[in-house]
Amino acid sequence: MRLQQAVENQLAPLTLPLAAPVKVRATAGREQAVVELVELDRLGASVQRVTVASPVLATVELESLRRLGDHLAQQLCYLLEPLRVIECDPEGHTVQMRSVQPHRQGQDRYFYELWLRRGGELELLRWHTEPAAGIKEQVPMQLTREILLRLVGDLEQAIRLVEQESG
Amino acid sequence: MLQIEQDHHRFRQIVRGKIRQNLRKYMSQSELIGRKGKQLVSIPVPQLDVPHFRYGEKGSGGVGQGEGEVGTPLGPGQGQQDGPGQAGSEPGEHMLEVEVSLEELAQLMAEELELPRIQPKGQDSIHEEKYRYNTIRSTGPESLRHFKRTYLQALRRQVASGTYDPRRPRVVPFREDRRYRSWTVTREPMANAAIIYMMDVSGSMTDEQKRIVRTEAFWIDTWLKSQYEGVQRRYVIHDAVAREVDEETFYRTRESGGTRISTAYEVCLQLIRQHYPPEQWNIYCFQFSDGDNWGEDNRRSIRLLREQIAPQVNLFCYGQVESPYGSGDYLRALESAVVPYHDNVLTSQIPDEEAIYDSIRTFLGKGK
Repeated sequence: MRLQQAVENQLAPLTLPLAAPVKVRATAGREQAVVELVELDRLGASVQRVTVASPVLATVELESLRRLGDHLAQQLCYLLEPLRVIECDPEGHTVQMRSVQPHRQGQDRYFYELWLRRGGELELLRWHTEPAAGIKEQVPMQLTREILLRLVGDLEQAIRLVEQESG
Repeated sequence: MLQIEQDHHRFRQIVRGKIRQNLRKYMSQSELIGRKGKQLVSIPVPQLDVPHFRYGEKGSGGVGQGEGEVGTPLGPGQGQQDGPGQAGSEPGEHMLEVEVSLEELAQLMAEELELPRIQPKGQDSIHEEKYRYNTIRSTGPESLRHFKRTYLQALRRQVASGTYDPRRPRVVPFREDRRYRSWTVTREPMANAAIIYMMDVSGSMTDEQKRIVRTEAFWIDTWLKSQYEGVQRRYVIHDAVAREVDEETFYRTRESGGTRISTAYEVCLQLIRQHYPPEQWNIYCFQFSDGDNWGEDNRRSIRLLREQIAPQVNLFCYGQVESPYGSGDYLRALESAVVPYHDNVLTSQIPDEEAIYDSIRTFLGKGK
Protein backbone atom coordinates (compact mmCIF):
# COMPACT_ATOMS: atom_id res chain seq x y z
CA MET A 1 0.00 0.00 0.00
CA ARG A 2 1.21 3.48 -0.83
CA LEU A 3 1.45 6.22 1.79
CA GLN A 4 -1.15 8.29 -0.05
CA GLN A 5 -3.64 5.44 0.30
CA ALA A 6 -2.74 4.94 3.93
CA VAL A 7 -3.45 8.59 4.74
CA GLU A 8 -6.75 8.41 2.87
CA ASN A 9 -7.70 5.39 4.92
CA GLN A 10 -6.94 7.25 8.14
CA LEU A 11 -9.01 10.27 7.09
CA ALA A 12 -12.05 8.25 6.08
CA PRO A 13 -13.36 7.27 9.54
CA LEU A 14 -12.94 10.73 11.07
CA THR A 15 -16.17 12.33 12.25
CA LEU A 16 -16.87 15.62 10.49
CA PRO A 17 -16.52 18.37 11.41
CA LEU A 18 -13.57 17.76 13.73
CA ALA A 19 -14.26 18.58 17.33
CA ALA A 20 -10.58 19.36 17.98
CA PRO A 21 -7.30 19.31 16.02
CA VAL A 22 -6.22 15.79 15.12
CA LYS A 23 -2.84 14.30 14.32
CA VAL A 24 -3.28 11.66 11.63
CA ARG A 25 -0.50 9.08 11.36
CA ALA A 26 -0.18 6.67 8.49
CA THR A 27 2.50 4.15 7.63
CA ALA A 28 3.31 2.40 4.36
CA GLY A 29 6.41 0.24 4.37
CA ARG A 30 9.23 2.20 5.94
CA GLU A 31 7.65 5.59 5.28
CA GLN A 32 5.50 7.38 7.78
CA ALA A 33 3.29 10.42 7.27
CA VAL A 34 1.95 12.72 9.96
CA VAL A 35 -0.76 15.20 9.02
CA GLU A 36 -1.75 17.70 11.69
CA LEU A 37 -5.33 18.63 10.94
CA VAL A 38 -6.94 21.72 12.37
CA GLU A 39 -10.17 21.30 10.46
CA LEU A 40 -11.54 18.79 7.98
CA ASP A 41 -14.67 18.54 5.88
CA ARG A 42 -15.80 16.56 2.84
CA LEU A 43 -13.90 18.78 0.43
CA GLY A 44 -10.89 20.18 2.14
CA ALA A 45 -8.65 20.41 5.15
CA SER A 46 -6.94 23.01 7.19
CA VAL A 47 -3.51 21.53 7.86
CA GLN A 48 -0.97 22.82 10.33
CA ARG A 49 1.90 20.62 9.21
CA VAL A 50 2.63 17.71 6.91
CA THR A 51 5.59 15.48 7.67
CA VAL A 52 6.86 12.47 5.76
CA ALA A 53 9.66 10.56 7.45
CA SER A 54 11.77 7.75 6.09
CA PRO A 55 14.96 5.93 7.12
CA VAL A 56 16.13 6.52 3.54
CA LEU A 57 16.91 10.08 4.57
CA ALA A 58 18.91 9.01 7.60
CA THR A 59 22.30 9.26 5.95
CA VAL A 60 21.52 11.25 2.83
CA GLU A 61 24.14 13.67 1.50
CA LEU A 62 23.44 17.38 1.13
CA GLU A 63 23.82 17.18 -2.62
CA SER A 64 21.09 14.53 -2.80
CA LEU A 65 18.86 16.71 -0.65
CA ARG A 66 19.47 19.63 -2.97
CA ARG A 67 18.53 17.51 -5.99
CA LEU A 68 15.48 16.31 -4.08
CA GLY A 69 14.60 19.95 -3.52
CA ASP A 70 14.90 20.75 -7.21
CA HIS A 71 12.71 17.77 -8.03
CA LEU A 72 10.05 18.83 -5.54
CA ALA A 73 10.19 22.39 -6.87
CA GLN A 74 8.94 21.01 -10.18
CA GLN A 75 6.42 18.60 -8.70
CA LEU A 76 4.61 20.77 -6.19
CA CYS A 77 3.19 23.21 -8.72
CA TYR A 78 -0.37 22.77 -7.46
CA LEU A 79 0.34 24.76 -4.29
CA LEU A 80 0.05 27.84 -6.52
CA GLU A 81 3.17 29.36 -5.01
CA PRO A 82 6.22 27.86 -6.73
CA LEU A 83 8.75 26.56 -4.23
CA ARG A 84 12.48 26.99 -4.63
CA VAL A 85 15.56 25.96 -2.70
CA ILE A 86 16.52 29.02 -0.63
CA GLU A 87 19.17 27.79 1.79
CA CYS A 88 21.28 24.65 2.14
CA ASP A 89 23.15 24.01 5.34
CA PRO A 90 26.19 21.78 4.85
CA GLU A 91 26.74 21.55 8.61
CA GLY A 92 23.29 20.36 9.52
CA HIS A 93 22.60 18.63 6.16
CA THR A 94 19.39 20.53 5.76
CA VAL A 95 17.72 22.20 2.80
CA GLN A 96 15.14 24.94 3.17
CA MET A 97 12.65 25.63 0.40
CA ARG A 98 10.18 28.48 0.29
CA SER A 99 7.58 30.01 -1.97
CA VAL A 100 9.53 32.00 -4.54
CA GLN A 101 7.21 34.94 -4.26
CA PRO A 102 5.37 35.01 -0.97
CA HIS A 103 1.70 35.76 -1.32
CA ARG A 104 1.06 39.39 -0.35
CA GLN A 105 -2.19 40.63 1.02
CA GLY A 106 -1.77 44.25 2.06
CA GLN A 107 0.91 44.24 4.74
CA ASP A 108 0.58 40.50 5.28
CA ARG A 109 2.75 37.89 3.60
CA TYR A 110 2.13 34.19 3.40
CA PHE A 111 4.52 31.53 2.21
CA TYR A 112 5.18 27.82 2.30
CA GLU A 113 8.33 26.46 3.86
CA LEU A 114 9.50 22.95 3.11
CA TRP A 115 12.37 21.48 5.10
CA LEU A 116 14.36 18.52 3.82
CA ARG A 117 16.40 17.09 6.64
CA ARG A 118 18.92 14.38 6.86
CA GLY A 119 17.91 12.16 9.64
CA GLY A 120 15.30 12.33 8.14
CA GLU A 121 12.05 13.89 7.22
CA LEU A 122 10.36 16.26 4.83
CA GLU A 123 8.21 18.85 6.58
CA LEU A 124 5.84 21.35 5.00
CA LEU A 125 4.62 24.41 6.89
CA ARG A 126 2.98 27.70 6.09
CA TRP A 127 3.94 31.03 7.61
CA HIS A 128 2.28 34.38 7.99
CA THR A 129 4.40 37.46 8.54
CA GLU A 130 3.49 41.06 9.05
CA PRO A 131 6.80 42.89 9.29
CA ALA A 132 5.43 46.22 10.47
CA ALA A 133 3.80 44.54 13.46
CA GLY A 134 6.71 42.16 13.99
CA ILE A 135 4.47 39.15 13.48
CA LYS A 136 5.77 35.81 12.29
CA GLU A 137 3.48 32.92 12.99
CA GLN A 138 2.76 29.51 11.64
CA VAL A 139 -0.66 29.26 10.05
CA PRO A 140 -2.63 26.32 8.67
CA MET A 141 -2.52 25.51 4.95
CA GLN A 142 -5.86 25.38 3.21
CA LEU A 143 -5.81 22.32 0.96
CA THR A 144 -8.45 20.26 -0.74
CA ARG A 145 -8.46 16.59 0.20
CA GLU A 146 -7.27 15.74 -3.28
CA ILE A 147 -4.31 18.13 -3.04
CA LEU A 148 -3.43 16.92 0.45
CA LEU A 149 -3.27 13.32 -0.73
CA ARG A 150 -1.36 14.28 -3.85
CA LEU A 151 1.13 16.16 -1.69
CA VAL A 152 1.73 13.14 0.54
CA GLY A 153 2.10 10.99 -2.58
CA ASP A 154 4.66 13.36 -4.15
CA LEU A 155 6.72 13.57 -0.98
CA GLU A 156 6.78 9.79 -0.77
CA GLN A 157 7.70 9.56 -4.44
CA ALA A 158 10.57 12.00 -3.94
CA ILE A 159 11.96 9.84 -1.14
CA ARG A 160 11.85 6.83 -3.44
CA LEU A 161 13.91 8.76 -5.96
CA VAL A 162 16.57 9.42 -3.33
CA GLU A 163 16.53 5.72 -2.50
CA GLN A 164 17.00 4.75 -6.15
CA GLU A 165 19.79 7.27 -6.53
CA SER A 166 21.70 5.93 -3.56
CA GLY A 167 21.23 2.43 -4.90
CA MET B 1 37.51 89.21 3.98
CA LEU B 2 37.51 89.76 0.22
CA GLN B 3 34.22 90.07 -1.63
CA ILE B 4 34.85 86.81 -3.49
CA GLU B 5 35.50 85.03 -0.19
CA GLN B 6 32.26 86.38 1.22
CA ASP B 7 30.41 85.20 -1.88
CA HIS B 8 32.06 81.81 -1.71
CA HIS B 9 31.23 81.50 1.98
CA ARG B 10 27.63 82.45 1.27
CA PHE B 11 27.50 79.94 -1.57
CA ARG B 12 28.81 77.16 0.71
CA GLN B 13 26.16 78.10 3.28
CA ILE B 14 23.43 77.79 0.65
CA VAL B 15 24.80 74.47 -0.56
CA ARG B 16 25.02 73.18 3.01
CA GLY B 17 21.43 74.24 3.57
CA LYS B 18 20.31 72.41 0.43
CA ILE B 19 22.17 69.27 1.44
CA ARG B 20 20.75 69.37 4.95
CA GLN B 21 17.30 69.88 3.56
CA ASN B 22 17.65 66.77 1.39
CA LEU B 23 19.83 64.72 3.71
CA ARG B 24 17.19 62.09 4.35
CA LYS B 25 16.96 61.54 0.61
CA TYR B 26 20.73 61.33 0.17
CA MET B 27 21.03 58.95 3.07
CA SER B 28 18.69 56.51 1.44
CA GLN B 29 20.42 56.63 -1.93
CA SER B 30 23.03 54.02 -2.54
CA GLU B 31 24.28 55.77 -5.69
CA LEU B 32 25.84 58.46 -3.55
CA ILE B 33 28.45 55.95 -2.50
CA GLY B 34 29.48 55.53 -6.11
CA ARG B 35 30.33 59.22 -6.14
CA LYS B 36 32.68 58.84 -3.21
CA GLY B 37 36.28 59.79 -3.74
CA LYS B 38 38.97 59.40 -1.12
CA GLN B 39 38.09 62.56 0.75
CA LEU B 40 35.22 64.08 -1.18
CA VAL B 41 31.72 63.08 -2.11
CA SER B 42 30.01 64.56 -5.09
CA ILE B 43 26.41 65.40 -4.28
CA PRO B 44 23.77 66.49 -6.76
CA VAL B 45 21.81 69.44 -5.40
CA PRO B 46 18.99 71.28 -7.14
CA GLN B 47 20.59 74.06 -9.18
CA LEU B 48 20.55 77.54 -7.74
CA ASP B 49 18.87 79.95 -10.14
CA VAL B 50 21.18 82.71 -11.32
CA PRO B 51 19.59 85.59 -13.32
CA HIS B 52 20.64 85.52 -16.96
CA PHE B 53 19.75 87.05 -20.34
CA ARG B 54 17.31 85.31 -22.59
CA TYR B 55 17.48 85.97 -26.30
CA GLY B 56 14.40 86.17 -28.48
CA GLU B 57 14.08 84.47 -31.83
CA LYS B 58 15.99 86.05 -34.67
CA GLY B 59 13.99 88.34 -36.95
CA SER B 60 10.87 88.28 -34.82
CA GLY B 61 10.98 91.98 -34.08
CA GLY B 62 11.35 93.54 -30.66
CA VAL B 63 13.59 96.17 -29.15
CA GLY B 64 15.52 98.44 -31.56
CA GLN B 65 13.86 97.26 -34.77
CA GLY B 66 11.96 99.39 -37.31
CA GLU B 67 11.33 103.10 -37.45
CA GLY B 68 10.22 105.19 -34.54
CA GLU B 69 10.53 108.41 -32.63
CA VAL B 70 11.86 108.93 -29.19
CA GLY B 71 9.10 108.02 -26.75
CA THR B 72 7.23 105.68 -29.10
CA PRO B 73 6.05 102.71 -27.04
CA LEU B 74 7.37 99.36 -28.17
CA GLY B 75 4.85 96.91 -29.54
CA PRO B 76 5.02 93.20 -28.89
CA GLY B 77 7.06 91.11 -31.34
CA GLN B 78 5.32 89.27 -34.13
CA GLY B 79 4.08 85.77 -33.77
CA GLN B 80 3.93 85.83 -30.01
CA GLN B 81 1.06 83.77 -28.74
CA ASP B 82 0.42 81.68 -25.72
CA GLY B 83 1.37 78.10 -26.27
CA PRO B 84 -0.89 75.22 -25.30
CA GLY B 85 -0.93 74.05 -21.72
CA GLN B 86 -0.21 75.82 -18.50
CA ALA B 87 2.97 76.76 -16.76
CA GLY B 88 4.25 74.10 -14.37
CA SER B 89 4.16 74.74 -10.65
CA GLU B 90 7.21 72.60 -9.78
CA PRO B 91 10.78 73.86 -9.98
CA GLY B 92 12.84 72.66 -12.94
CA GLU B 93 15.08 69.66 -12.43
CA HIS B 94 18.44 71.31 -12.94
CA MET B 95 21.02 69.52 -10.91
CA LEU B 96 24.31 70.91 -9.77
CA GLU B 97 27.06 68.65 -8.50
CA VAL B 98 28.92 69.96 -5.49
CA GLU B 99 31.84 68.32 -3.80
CA VAL B 100 31.62 67.97 -0.06
CA SER B 101 34.36 66.62 2.16
CA LEU B 102 33.53 63.51 4.15
CA GLU B 103 34.19 65.48 7.32
CA GLU B 104 31.70 68.15 6.32
CA LEU B 105 29.20 65.49 5.40
CA ALA B 106 29.62 63.85 8.80
CA GLN B 107 29.08 67.22 10.44
CA LEU B 108 25.93 67.83 8.42
CA MET B 109 24.66 64.40 9.35
CA ALA B 110 25.42 65.04 13.01
CA GLU B 111 23.57 68.37 12.92
CA GLU B 112 20.60 66.94 11.15
CA LEU B 113 20.35 63.76 13.22
CA GLU B 114 21.38 65.60 16.39
CA LEU B 115 24.12 63.07 17.01
CA PRO B 116 26.11 63.62 20.18
CA ARG B 117 29.89 63.51 19.95
CA ILE B 118 31.35 60.20 20.96
CA GLN B 119 33.15 59.88 24.29
CA PRO B 120 36.05 57.58 23.49
CA LYS B 121 37.43 55.20 26.03
CA GLY B 122 40.98 53.98 26.43
CA GLN B 123 42.51 57.33 25.62
CA ASP B 124 45.01 57.16 28.44
CA SER B 125 46.34 53.73 27.80
CA ILE B 126 47.69 54.11 24.26
CA HIS B 127 50.12 56.79 23.21
CA GLU B 128 51.09 57.61 19.74
CA GLU B 129 54.42 59.20 18.76
CA LYS B 130 53.87 62.19 16.52
CA TYR B 131 56.63 63.90 14.53
CA ARG B 132 56.39 67.63 14.00
CA TYR B 133 58.85 69.59 11.85
CA ASN B 134 59.02 72.64 14.07
CA THR B 135 62.72 73.13 14.97
CA ILE B 136 65.95 74.12 13.22
CA ARG B 137 69.30 72.33 13.46
CA SER B 138 72.73 73.01 12.06
CA THR B 139 72.99 69.52 10.59
CA GLY B 140 70.68 67.55 8.41
CA PRO B 141 70.04 66.30 4.90
CA GLU B 142 70.24 68.80 2.07
CA SER B 143 66.65 68.12 1.15
CA LEU B 144 65.61 69.72 4.45
CA ARG B 145 67.84 72.77 4.15
CA HIS B 146 66.07 75.93 5.31
CA PHE B 147 67.25 78.57 2.81
CA LYS B 148 65.86 81.60 4.59
CA ARG B 149 67.41 80.64 7.92
CA THR B 150 70.69 79.76 6.20
CA TYR B 151 70.94 83.18 4.55
CA LEU B 152 69.87 84.87 7.76
CA GLN B 153 72.66 83.10 9.62
CA ALA B 154 75.17 84.04 6.92
CA LEU B 155 74.00 87.67 7.08
CA ARG B 156 74.32 87.68 10.85
CA ARG B 157 77.88 86.31 10.61
CA GLN B 158 78.90 88.84 7.94
CA VAL B 159 77.47 91.76 9.93
CA ALA B 160 79.22 90.56 13.10
CA SER B 161 82.54 90.14 11.31
CA GLY B 162 82.21 93.47 9.44
CA THR B 163 82.36 91.91 5.99
CA TYR B 164 78.82 92.96 5.07
CA ASP B 165 78.64 95.95 2.74
CA PRO B 166 75.13 97.47 2.53
CA ARG B 167 76.04 99.12 -0.78
CA ARG B 168 76.84 95.70 -2.26
CA PRO B 169 74.55 93.41 -0.26
CA ARG B 170 76.07 90.05 -1.18
CA VAL B 171 75.50 87.29 1.33
CA VAL B 172 77.50 84.13 0.81
CA PRO B 173 76.64 81.29 3.21
CA PHE B 174 79.48 79.12 4.48
CA ARG B 175 79.07 75.53 5.40
CA GLU B 176 78.56 76.36 9.09
CA ASP B 177 75.77 78.84 8.21
CA ARG B 178 73.57 76.13 6.84
CA ARG B 179 70.41 75.46 8.77
CA TYR B 180 68.07 72.52 8.41
CA ARG B 181 64.51 71.84 9.32
CA SER B 182 64.17 69.29 12.08
CA TRP B 183 61.50 67.53 14.08
CA THR B 184 60.46 67.00 17.64
CA VAL B 185 58.70 63.92 18.88
CA THR B 186 55.64 64.27 21.05
CA ARG B 187 53.66 61.53 22.69
CA GLU B 188 49.96 62.07 22.43
CA PRO B 189 47.12 60.00 23.80
CA MET B 190 45.36 58.13 21.04
CA ALA B 191 41.81 56.86 20.81
CA ASN B 192 41.42 54.27 18.13
CA ALA B 193 38.31 52.60 16.94
CA ALA B 194 37.56 49.31 15.29
CA ILE B 195 34.34 48.66 13.46
CA ILE B 196 33.34 45.07 12.89
CA TYR B 197 30.59 44.64 10.34
CA MET B 198 28.72 41.36 10.23
CA MET B 199 26.30 40.47 7.51
CA ASP B 200 24.07 37.53 6.83
CA VAL B 201 24.63 36.49 3.22
CA SER B 202 22.45 33.40 3.32
CA GLY B 203 20.08 32.54 0.50
CA SER B 204 17.22 34.57 1.91
CA MET B 205 19.18 37.85 1.78
CA THR B 206 18.66 39.49 -1.59
CA ASP B 207 20.74 42.13 -3.40
CA GLU B 208 18.22 44.76 -2.35
CA GLN B 209 18.95 44.10 1.31
CA LYS B 210 22.68 44.19 0.72
CA ARG B 211 22.30 47.59 -0.91
CA ILE B 212 20.55 48.84 2.21
CA VAL B 213 23.35 47.47 4.38
CA ARG B 214 25.97 49.07 2.15
CA THR B 215 24.30 52.48 2.31
CA GLU B 216 23.92 52.34 6.05
CA ALA B 217 27.51 51.19 6.52
CA PHE B 218 28.74 54.13 4.41
CA TRP B 219 27.09 56.65 6.73
CA ILE B 220 28.22 54.86 9.85
CA ASP B 221 31.77 54.84 8.50
CA THR B 222 31.58 58.52 7.67
CA TRP B 223 30.48 59.38 11.18
CA LEU B 224 32.96 57.19 13.04
CA LYS B 225 35.85 58.36 10.87
CA SER B 226 35.02 61.92 11.82
CA GLN B 227 35.19 60.96 15.50
CA TYR B 228 38.41 58.94 15.53
CA GLU B 229 41.71 59.39 13.79
CA GLY B 230 42.39 55.73 13.14
CA VAL B 231 39.37 53.65 12.30
CA GLN B 232 39.96 50.05 11.41
CA ARG B 233 37.23 48.15 9.68
CA ARG B 234 36.74 44.40 9.58
CA TYR B 235 34.09 42.55 7.65
CA VAL B 236 32.51 39.23 8.53
CA ILE B 237 29.99 37.39 6.41
CA HIS B 238 28.07 34.33 7.40
CA ASP B 239 25.49 31.85 6.33
CA ALA B 240 25.78 28.61 8.26
CA VAL B 241 29.50 29.30 8.61
CA ALA B 242 31.28 32.64 8.99
CA ARG B 243 34.52 34.08 7.72
CA GLU B 244 36.34 37.37 7.59
CA VAL B 245 36.43 38.97 4.13
CA ASP B 246 37.49 42.21 2.49
CA GLU B 247 35.08 45.09 1.90
CA GLU B 248 34.42 44.22 -1.73
CA THR B 249 33.53 40.62 -0.95
CA PHE B 250 31.42 41.74 1.99
CA TYR B 251 28.96 43.57 -0.23
CA ARG B 252 29.03 41.33 -3.25
CA THR B 253 28.91 37.82 -1.89
CA ARG B 254 25.73 35.85 -1.97
CA GLU B 255 25.72 32.37 -0.51
CA SER B 256 23.00 29.80 -0.34
CA GLY B 257 23.81 28.27 3.00
CA GLY B 258 21.61 28.22 6.06
CA THR B 259 21.60 30.95 8.68
CA ARG B 260 23.64 30.60 11.86
CA ILE B 261 24.29 33.96 13.42
CA SER B 262 26.39 32.47 16.21
CA THR B 263 29.15 31.65 13.71
CA ALA B 264 29.57 35.36 12.92
CA TYR B 265 29.73 36.15 16.63
CA GLU B 266 32.50 33.62 17.07
CA VAL B 267 34.59 35.23 14.31
CA CYS B 268 33.86 38.65 15.82
CA LEU B 269 35.07 37.48 19.23
CA GLN B 270 38.17 36.01 17.67
CA LEU B 271 38.97 39.36 16.03
CA ILE B 272 38.49 41.19 19.31
CA ARG B 273 40.71 38.74 21.17
CA GLN B 274 43.48 38.82 18.60
CA HIS B 275 43.54 42.44 17.49
CA TYR B 276 41.49 44.77 19.61
CA PRO B 277 41.92 44.52 23.37
CA PRO B 278 38.76 46.20 24.67
CA GLU B 279 40.63 48.25 27.27
CA GLN B 280 42.57 49.98 24.50
CA TRP B 281 40.14 50.02 21.62
CA ASN B 282 36.75 51.52 21.02
CA ILE B 283 34.95 48.64 19.40
CA TYR B 284 31.79 49.03 17.38
CA CYS B 285 29.91 46.05 16.01
CA PHE B 286 27.22 46.39 13.39
CA GLN B 287 25.29 43.32 12.43
CA PHE B 288 22.78 43.06 9.62
CA SER B 289 20.49 40.15 8.92
CA ASP B 290 16.95 39.38 7.88
CA GLY B 291 16.63 37.70 11.25
CA ASP B 292 15.74 34.31 9.85
CA ASN B 293 18.16 32.50 12.10
CA TRP B 294 17.72 28.76 12.01
CA GLY B 295 15.73 27.78 15.09
CA GLU B 296 18.13 26.24 17.52
CA ASP B 297 20.89 28.78 16.87
CA ASN B 298 19.08 31.68 18.54
CA ARG B 299 19.93 30.45 22.01
CA ARG B 300 23.63 30.07 21.28
CA SER B 301 23.83 33.44 19.49
CA ILE B 302 22.15 35.26 22.33
CA ARG B 303 24.41 33.65 24.91
CA LEU B 304 27.53 34.72 22.98
CA LEU B 305 26.28 38.25 22.56
CA ARG B 306 25.07 38.67 26.09
CA GLU B 307 27.99 37.09 27.91
CA GLN B 308 30.96 37.78 25.70
CA ILE B 309 30.49 40.44 23.06
CA ALA B 310 28.28 43.06 24.72
CA PRO B 311 30.50 43.49 27.81
CA GLN B 312 33.54 44.19 25.63
CA VAL B 313 32.30 46.65 23.04
CA ASN B 314 31.27 50.31 23.05
CA LEU B 315 28.26 49.58 20.95
CA PHE B 316 26.61 46.58 19.38
CA CYS B 317 24.01 47.45 16.79
CA TYR B 318 21.74 44.96 15.14
CA GLY B 319 19.85 46.08 12.06
CA GLN B 320 17.20 43.76 10.76
CA VAL B 321 16.48 44.24 7.11
CA GLU B 322 13.31 42.96 5.61
CA SER B 323 13.44 40.08 3.18
CA PRO B 324 10.63 39.22 0.77
CA TYR B 325 9.50 36.82 3.49
CA GLY B 326 9.16 39.57 6.05
CA SER B 327 11.36 39.76 9.07
CA GLY B 328 12.66 36.87 11.05
CA ASP B 329 12.26 36.57 14.78
CA TYR B 330 15.87 37.23 15.80
CA LEU B 331 15.10 40.88 16.48
CA ARG B 332 12.41 39.96 18.95
CA ALA B 333 14.69 37.40 20.57
CA LEU B 334 17.38 40.08 21.07
CA GLU B 335 14.92 42.62 22.34
CA SER B 336 13.66 40.28 25.01
CA ALA B 337 16.87 38.53 26.01
CA VAL B 338 19.72 41.03 25.53
CA VAL B 339 18.57 44.63 25.14
CA PRO B 340 17.10 44.92 28.68
CA TYR B 341 20.44 43.85 30.20
CA HIS B 342 22.90 45.84 28.07
CA ASP B 343 22.30 49.47 27.22
CA ASN B 344 25.04 49.32 24.58
CA VAL B 345 23.06 46.83 22.51
CA LEU B 346 20.76 48.61 20.10
CA THR B 347 18.38 47.25 17.53
CA SER B 348 16.54 48.71 14.60
CA GLN B 349 14.27 47.46 11.90
CA ILE B 350 15.11 48.56 8.36
CA PRO B 351 12.22 47.63 6.08
CA ASP B 352 13.47 49.77 3.19
CA GLU B 353 15.96 52.44 2.20
CA GLU B 354 13.77 55.14 3.70
CA ALA B 355 14.34 53.63 7.12
CA ILE B 356 18.12 54.02 6.98
CA TYR B 357 17.92 57.56 8.32
CA ASP B 358 16.09 56.58 11.49
CA SER B 359 18.17 53.48 11.92
CA ILE B 360 21.37 55.52 11.93
CA ARG B 361 19.88 57.92 14.42
CA THR B 362 19.04 54.96 16.66
CA PHE B 363 22.51 53.49 16.36
CA LEU B 364 24.64 56.59 16.69
CA GLY B 365 22.39 58.75 18.78
CA LYS B 366 23.76 57.43 22.05
CA GLY B 367 27.20 58.99 21.76
CA LYS B 368 28.94 55.81 22.92
